[in-house]
Amino acid sequence: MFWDEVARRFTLANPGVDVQVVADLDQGTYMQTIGSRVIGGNMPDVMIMDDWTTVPLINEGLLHPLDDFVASDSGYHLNEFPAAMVKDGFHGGVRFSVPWYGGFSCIFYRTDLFRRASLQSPTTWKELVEECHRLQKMAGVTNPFGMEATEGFWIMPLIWQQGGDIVSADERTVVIDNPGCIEALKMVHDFMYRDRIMDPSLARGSDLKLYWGSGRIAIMLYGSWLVESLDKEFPDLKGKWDVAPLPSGPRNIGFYGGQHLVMSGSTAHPELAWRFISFASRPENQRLWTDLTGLPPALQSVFDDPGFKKEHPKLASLRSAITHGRNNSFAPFFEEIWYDRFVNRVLQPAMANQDSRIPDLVSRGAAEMQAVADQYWASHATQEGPRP
Amino acid sequence: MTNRSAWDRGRERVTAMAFLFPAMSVLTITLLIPLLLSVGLSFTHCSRFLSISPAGLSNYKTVLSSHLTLKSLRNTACFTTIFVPCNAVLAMSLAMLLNERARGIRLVRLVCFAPVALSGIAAISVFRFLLDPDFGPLNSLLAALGFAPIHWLGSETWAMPSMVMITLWKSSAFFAIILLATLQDVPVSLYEAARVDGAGRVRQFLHVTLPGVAPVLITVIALSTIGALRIFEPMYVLTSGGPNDATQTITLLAYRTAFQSGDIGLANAICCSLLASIIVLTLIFNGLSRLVRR
Amino acid sequence: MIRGALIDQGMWMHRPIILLPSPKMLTLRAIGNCFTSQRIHLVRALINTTAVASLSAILNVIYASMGGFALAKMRVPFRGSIIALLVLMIMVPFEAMMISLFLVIAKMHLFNTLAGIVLPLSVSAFNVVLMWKFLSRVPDELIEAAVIDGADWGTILFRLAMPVAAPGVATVFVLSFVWGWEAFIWPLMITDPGSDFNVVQQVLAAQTRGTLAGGIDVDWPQLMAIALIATIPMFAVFAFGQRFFVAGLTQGAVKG
Repeated sequence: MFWDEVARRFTLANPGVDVQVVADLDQGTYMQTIGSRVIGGNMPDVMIMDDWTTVPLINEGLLHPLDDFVASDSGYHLNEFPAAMVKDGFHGGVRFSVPWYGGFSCIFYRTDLFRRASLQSPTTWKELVEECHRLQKMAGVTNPFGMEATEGFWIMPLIWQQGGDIVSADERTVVIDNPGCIEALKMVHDFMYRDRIMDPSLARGSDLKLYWGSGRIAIMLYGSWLVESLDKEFPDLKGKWDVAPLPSGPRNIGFYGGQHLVMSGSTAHPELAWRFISFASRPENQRLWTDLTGLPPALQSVFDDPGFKKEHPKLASLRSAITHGRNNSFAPFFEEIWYDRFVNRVLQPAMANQDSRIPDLVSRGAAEMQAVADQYWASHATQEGPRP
Repeated sequence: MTNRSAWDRGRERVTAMAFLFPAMSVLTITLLIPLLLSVGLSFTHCSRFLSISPAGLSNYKTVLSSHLTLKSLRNTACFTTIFVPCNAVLAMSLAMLLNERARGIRLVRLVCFAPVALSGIAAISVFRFLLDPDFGPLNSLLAALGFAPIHWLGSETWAMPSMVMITLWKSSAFFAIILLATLQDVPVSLYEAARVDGAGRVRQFLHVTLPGVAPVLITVIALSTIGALRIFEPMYVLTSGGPNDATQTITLLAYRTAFQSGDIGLANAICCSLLASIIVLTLIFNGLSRLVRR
Repeated sequence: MIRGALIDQGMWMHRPIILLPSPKMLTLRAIGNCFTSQRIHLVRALINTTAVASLSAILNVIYASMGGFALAKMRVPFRGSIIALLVLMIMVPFEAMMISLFLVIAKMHLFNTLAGIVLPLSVSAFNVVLMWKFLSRVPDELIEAAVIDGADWGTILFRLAMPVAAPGVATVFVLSFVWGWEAFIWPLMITDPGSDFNVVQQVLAAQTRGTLAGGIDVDWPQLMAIALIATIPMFAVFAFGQRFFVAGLTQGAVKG
């Protein structure tokens, strides 16, 4: 829908050019289509894809470098995009993708319950624990805080806040057994079993949004994509909730990453393709993106626009997320170690049991993940590591 | 073909080759080359963008050790071992029932053969409705009889049996047609002779019917076994591998590995393993068939 | 069977289940929707499927007859090896080389094209062997006479032999049509998942899979209507060519 509209506008502004929106695919079949089209020789000229999925294509030399275009296009301002996403598009000293849209995690809290306890939204995790205790006493909510403890995505920024990480910068070493990661895991574990502000059943796969909708939770950690669709999902809670940025630990970092625009390396019309990319990235079209999809824009100037603040107040209030966020590693084996090893064998067991020994779980998990990484590099010995 | 010159015979040979050319060339492109490519690629690491690097036996090692692959193999074997005997028994019973000379038997035959005429995917869609836990007639029937409703396609225990059921529906009718034709070829005189010898219905069945259809029955079992190993559609459409990989089968796994995971080398290794099993089974059945004919 | 009737009744849904609806309860809404709905693209799918099935059937008849005739009645160099090769090819299951087949066809730039779908379906070793057996039964004297009269092989095949072996031709046609209509895995692989270029089976499968994804308000009549439409053409061909279908398969099973 959005892209059809952009295509229409582009065609109006550039008569004689025909833009075909190939498909709006779901995630599962996206790589399948790209792969088939690469083999068949008819890759789309411009593609929008998740940041980490650009890496295999870059490694195969399938994408067109964009440095020259960025440099020579005076109407395109790369530095107006968040620094984290700008950095993500850089591989081996060459720019292959430009930012399009980024998502992040944030806090959703019940304003009515918070008012009852005379509270403002927390800005640090310590504040969160204190406020939750007050909510328990004064607003009668047994387990005020909720997050999906079995999904690795939410833990990642918490690990970074504590100074830890998952994979080293050169992508060779798995570093989850550093104190930062252990500290982050301990913190969430304590939320459930020591501070008792979070329902332990959330560590066994209970539906977080269900709890939120039924009022069992007063404050939850969730993603930016919910901000504009929450009212549709839970119409009874309209007007009773607000959003706040992610609480910070020792460092103020969140997750920020999303989709990029890339150009096919075999396109017959590189100039036109760039013109389209540049056109779509204009402020008015980024604004249209949010209007039509409810997802936050990436251009910082759009956030600062008064009109935007009026129409999308909640998203506008989360502006700090796009400057204080970073992305996870793009190591090729990341997916494999993340779900199978980290989430399933470290995170979930750690959270599900009251007396789980987190340091032991982490060091065992680190060894397994390192084995996968080593195996990967052994069989891809000719490939260089990631470029800065 | 006798009084023709060498020139004519030569021309005949050329024309014959020309006649065979279209079929053979398309078969080469669509069968032989992919087959060789399949075997070749199974020994490589091949990404979905066709970057190839040699891998030796590592794909096959994965096939034999990966949790998912082993589960698929087990599921497929499970499906086959339940499906083949049920299919044979059902098809045979159906064929024997339809062999009777009764009034209106033609109409019954037509109705019983309807599953074969119905498009496979359409049948699967109908079953999706039939097996729906909330709206499906099957659960309504169970409720009427006093049983608790079963989550047919959603529970790990019932998903595979549902697949067997769905495939049996069409398959038993299909093979019943073939068996019926064979049954009708068994000379009535043999039955007469047996009856004269004092054989009851059971002994007639064992000594006249079975030997009569034995070769075809073996073929039926062979075809249904090979078909069962290749099964794809019900799993893809209804469960996508099933609750927790309960209905993940070899062909479905190969498809997923190639297109979703993008690991073409491994997918080809899976396909070649399937090919090897089928070739072995075909040889076994050929041997059995020859034994029975004697 | 009850199930067959259910397809018809599926056009309207009512609880508790009534097997034989009275006429005034039936509505054609679901069927009409199939054709007009933007989401379903059934008309295009029907056109595609018909094209695939018919092309595949026609090509099969032509290629199989030519090849079968050559093997049956003409001097063929390496005849024994060719026959052996064909028999071996019958043994190879599609699934064993489907991925490489995809690579080959995609490399030929036939991804998401009609030719790409039809090409692998257009010949089958089984059909060649079938026509070989059928055409062998054409009396040699007939062929001899024509040769002596100076007819060229093309005429002999198409004007003389095939009419005599008409049951065989019909069998191959019906078998190939049904196989082409019902083909699922192959069109699934070779068409672009995001595009409209679909075969009816794909449309139906997509709809059915969709019911499982978020299915609270599943449009059952719609689904059944699509299933019904997907089946009718094949049902017609089958009813018409039932004899050949059965005969051909029995041949294959018994002699194979």
